[in-house]
Amino acid sequence: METPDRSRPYLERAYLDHAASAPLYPEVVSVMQEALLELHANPTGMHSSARAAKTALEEARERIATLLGCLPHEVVFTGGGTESDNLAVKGVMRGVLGDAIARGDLSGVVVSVIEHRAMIAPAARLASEGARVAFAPVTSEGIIDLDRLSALLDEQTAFVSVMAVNNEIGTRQPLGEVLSLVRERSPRAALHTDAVQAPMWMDPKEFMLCDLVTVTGHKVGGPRGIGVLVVRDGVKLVAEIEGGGQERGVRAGTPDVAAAVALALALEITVARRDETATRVRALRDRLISGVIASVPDVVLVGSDSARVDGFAPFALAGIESESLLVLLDRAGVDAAAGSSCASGATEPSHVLTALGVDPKFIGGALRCSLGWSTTADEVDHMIKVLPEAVNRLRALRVERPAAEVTL
Amino acid sequence: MLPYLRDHYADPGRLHAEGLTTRVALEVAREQVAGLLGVRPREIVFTSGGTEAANTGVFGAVARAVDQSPERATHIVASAIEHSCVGDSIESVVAQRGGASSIVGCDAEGLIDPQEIASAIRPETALVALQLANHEVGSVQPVHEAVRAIRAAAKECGATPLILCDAASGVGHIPVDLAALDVDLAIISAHKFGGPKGAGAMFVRRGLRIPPLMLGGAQERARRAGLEDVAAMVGFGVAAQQVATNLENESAANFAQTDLIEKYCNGIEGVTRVGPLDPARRLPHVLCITINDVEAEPVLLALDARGIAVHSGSACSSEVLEPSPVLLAMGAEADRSLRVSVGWSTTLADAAAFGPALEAVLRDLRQLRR
Repeated sequence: METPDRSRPYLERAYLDHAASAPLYPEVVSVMQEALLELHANPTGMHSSARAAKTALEEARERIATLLGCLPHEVVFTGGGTESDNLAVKGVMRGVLGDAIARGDLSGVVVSVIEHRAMIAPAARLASEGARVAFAPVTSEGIIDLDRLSALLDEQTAFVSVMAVNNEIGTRQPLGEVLSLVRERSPRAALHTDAVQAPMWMDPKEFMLCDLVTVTGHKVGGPRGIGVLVVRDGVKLVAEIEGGGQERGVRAGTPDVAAAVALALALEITVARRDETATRVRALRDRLISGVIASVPDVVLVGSDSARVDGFAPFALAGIESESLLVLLDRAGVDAAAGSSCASGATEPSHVLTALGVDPKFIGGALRCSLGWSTTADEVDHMIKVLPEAVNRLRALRVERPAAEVTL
Repeated sequence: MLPYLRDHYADPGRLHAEGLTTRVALEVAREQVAGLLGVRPREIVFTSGGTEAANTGVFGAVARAVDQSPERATHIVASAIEHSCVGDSIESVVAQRGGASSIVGCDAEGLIDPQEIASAIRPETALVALQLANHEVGSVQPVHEAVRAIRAAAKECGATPLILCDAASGVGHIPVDLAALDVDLAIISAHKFGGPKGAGAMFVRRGLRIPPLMLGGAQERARRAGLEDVAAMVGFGVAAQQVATNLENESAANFAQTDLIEKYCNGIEGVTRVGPLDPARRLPHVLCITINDVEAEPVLLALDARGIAVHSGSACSSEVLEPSPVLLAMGAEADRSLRVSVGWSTTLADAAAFGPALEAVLRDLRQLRR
């Protein structure tokens, strides 16, 4: 068998896993390479080399603030989306829980049930530290149920998190309505949104209305290992990583200057080309969906047709296991996913699909295809070509067994 | 790093071939870092840097102790000259979770006494933090002796503390064998020895499990959530391999450079070299001097104008120039220190230029005063 050339993978294979990690824009690679070489000094020094690094870092911060529409000092650089989410919920709640008077009065945390695990796991830990944690349900289309959210919010709620776009099914959430509800029912609460999947498909204004916003580099054509937590003025936050006082005392550690510079450029490109990319990707995505529906029986599209952002095609197939399908697709030259990348390794059904109440017949066969700036028609067509055969093979292998008889 | 920024961007947690490519690269990097430290690859947890590793280690050690005996207040022992990423984590974990800490001083050369640190152990001690080498004055601590003394003292009073060693300043500059040191947790940082910023690691001794700080994903064998920064870790691994193969030459070259600087500085009026005199007890690449009559800030700026980049105090605490806690603990002049640090890109000519430049700068600044 011929070994595929791995040096330029996205020209050789169909890479339909943008929501897990998008390729870097070539311009970003060049800028980052230059920054790695030139901006090597620790930006906290007083000498010229340090000042050059510091200037580049602060310019990156200003450019990101301009793009997002906030003040530069509201942009906190972190080690990525997971860290930003952890910092948001723990940072707000540790401040409250550490204060005996506030604690009794303001201990509520409400997060949507379809949040990324980077929000669900720290919220669950806070529950063991004395916070009252509630998970807000979603509709069968994967959109937050505003009435039931409202019922969970009260005067004692300190922190609310609803993601801008879900990472498994691509549904955008009605953040404006969520914000109004939170302000009305829980006037002292900070509203956070995990917007890592959003900048490619939405105007930043649509998610920047929240008090805290998570953005990450590797979903927007930038590098990994860098993220942002926007902390709007007035939000009190306790640091999660300490010892150095960087990032205004909210996030210690030597700043990753090259990655910050690369993130600023990646966000600029993403925002500048958004309309063009979204239009092109939407056409490709729709072609993928109609191609798959036409050639594969017993497949459904999960989530909401009206609220789904352009890069997502979240399928669920009856009668197969995601993991086996991904292996066959991989051998046929397609990189796709089951659900959240961070859940890989675990084989239990996705908490998102479970929350939507997806038919058990389909739930084990989740297939998330996610498209982005580098996706081509060839990649989509390749997927449409190889998927039916992979699905048929797996379904043919599956022996329909009657339920085992149990004798006691 | 470039191929992993440009071409291989897949999530290493994925089943597909591209995921496998990045997974292999990540695991090779882990082996390279483990090789430099004399430990097993599975004992290395990659983080976003030394500071995150330090916070994770301190938090995890205390959380473990609380899980084991929730009714007991925890106690932490640390040296007074730890980097702020360790010192501040300890302060904050004590503030958040209750308990107490004992801070053990050092001698005038910046060296800790193994017996003194061991005598601070109590039955409820959950963590002992002891750096491998100091980031400001370059003192290399007697960690081996200290660990033995700590283990003996712990055994005597029935304590089961974890020993955390911040090795960030030493790794890449002196030979480090973490397995032989017999510590439980250690911290290293890539950008101290030619690797990229945004890459660090926590060593967790085999068999030890501490609760993670970063939650929400099973990466790093459920010890640190968050998508792995493969490109940065590849850079980290290559830097580790480079220094591992070239450590002896590198260290000899750095000693020659710092010796040259030291000799010249000894002849400059009002300049005192601080830190251990015994070369076996100091880092090859770090030299700290204090100036008895001129503030550090104008000296740094004047040296910078002459094309020389040096530092005052430790980098992380110097957005504002505060008195160095390390020099305070040593009983040295804490407001007027310069840290000169060299490395792979420094030449002997760079080192030779430093002394005369400092002498000229001090002469100018003193004249201004008259």
